[in-house]
Amino acid sequence: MSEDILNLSLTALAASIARREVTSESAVQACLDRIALWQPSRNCFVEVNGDAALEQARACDRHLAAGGKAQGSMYGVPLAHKDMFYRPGVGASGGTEIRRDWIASTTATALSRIDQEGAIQVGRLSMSEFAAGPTGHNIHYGHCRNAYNRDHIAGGSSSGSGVAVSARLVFGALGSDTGGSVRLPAAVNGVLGLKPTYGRVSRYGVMPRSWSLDHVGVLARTASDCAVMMNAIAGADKNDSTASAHRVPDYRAALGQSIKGLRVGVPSIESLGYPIEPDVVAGLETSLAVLRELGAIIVPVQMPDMRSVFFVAETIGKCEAATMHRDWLKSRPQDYSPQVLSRIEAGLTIPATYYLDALRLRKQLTEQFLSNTMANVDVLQMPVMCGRVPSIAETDIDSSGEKVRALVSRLTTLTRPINLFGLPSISIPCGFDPLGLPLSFQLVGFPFSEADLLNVAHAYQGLTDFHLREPTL
Amino acid sequence: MDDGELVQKYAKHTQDFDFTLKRAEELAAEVKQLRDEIRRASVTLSFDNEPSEFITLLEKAAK
Repeated sequence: MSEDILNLSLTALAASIARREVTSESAVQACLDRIALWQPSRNCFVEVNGDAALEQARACDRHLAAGGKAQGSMYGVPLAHKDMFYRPGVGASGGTEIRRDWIASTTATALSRIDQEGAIQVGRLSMSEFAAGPTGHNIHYGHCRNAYNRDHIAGGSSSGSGVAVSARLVFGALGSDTGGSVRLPAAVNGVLGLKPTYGRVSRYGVMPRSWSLDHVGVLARTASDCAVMMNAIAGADKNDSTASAHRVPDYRAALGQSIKGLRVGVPSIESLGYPIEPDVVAGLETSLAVLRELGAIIVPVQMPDMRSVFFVAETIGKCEAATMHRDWLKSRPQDYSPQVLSRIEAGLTIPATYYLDALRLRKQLTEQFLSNTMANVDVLQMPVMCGRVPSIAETDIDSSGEKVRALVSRLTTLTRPINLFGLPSISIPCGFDPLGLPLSFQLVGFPFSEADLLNVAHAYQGLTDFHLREPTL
Repeated sequence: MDDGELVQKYAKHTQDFDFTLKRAEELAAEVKQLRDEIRRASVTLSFDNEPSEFITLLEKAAK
């Protein structure tokens, strides 16, 4: 019975709870039982709040049993979130030693909006230190490990979000994405990860990594689940001046439209700027075949110099991180991992004029990307990563600055530029490599086109079953 | 004075940070790469360009 519950989608479970076919308590208990089984080998939770979650679930069930209606689109559904979303009286370590015992005093807007839809938070999820690592390594709390193979990386920085959703420990999770931190863990664990347009979701009450590049995003197993979560969290926020007042569509209602005639831009492998491994290319071709079958038209496009875009984003990220970390870098350098320290320090020595030029270039580079690469297409299809999911050992590097930079560059070269552009992008599973680890691609859209991306993902999932595969312990 | 020594002195003078010469040399190489990319790309910028134009672009480019 609990296996049946855990294999439901978020939306299916919410409907079942609302109809009283399944109790919220049984759903939460099923998650807690499975977390107890998986946590020792995957380390995807920082904290599990079983008793509080069960109490909240019983309250939902009592309300429904008394004839009440479901109070929200995720009423009684167990979720968990990256450990950087603030809730008063609760920790939010950010994966750091420095904030290990820190207690938040405000509520993240995204969390409060999820709460309003009746979801139950069963715990806080593992993440890379200060949201600054693409692999899921964490020397303070232990490495988070891939849902499909514990010897491989979980992806980062929303590591626990990707693993917990993939392993059926929760039905959805919030993450954040500054250079790929939603899309990478989604990709390597075989789930959907949506990084919305810059400003689409409020960042208020979320630990910052880089003010200009941070995006709050969602991870779930189906496009419909992502749509429900986006319906909850998207929109303006008086507490975050960067949160856009652009109209918020009903993302779930937008699903199910035909994508016949959709123009999908496909860059040549050569124009991506980095060698792409054959397994990744094969996954891309698989996904294109599905999109063609759905009626999409494939349009060859040319990419800009992605390395240049990458370095502009790096300049912004390093300067902003160095600014917010300066006092701790001085007073508590021993509390940073060498890798994170190594990535932030350069920002202390970049002149402000270069930082501001990078910000000024952002508009120009994005404009060029939209008017050249995206000129004749509706969405762009490209890899999330250049290669297969690496092992933890392969990426367990020392403190050398050059090695850290090479690793980060290799893993985020195709995701970080999209953060600079501020464009929405969704990571979608498209197969498995010979080791049984997930392969994924990303679709990039125009500003505020999340509904279109989710609609394509929904159509794609209608013809594929990658998202239904279940990792084994 | 080589680049590492310059970065070491610059970090001390502007940020009051003490980097070893080895670390300062690494930072010098990293910052040079970033700086070269920004300088190369920014020749296209005009006097009137400002960072906030990016947000306006996102709103305008929405379909």
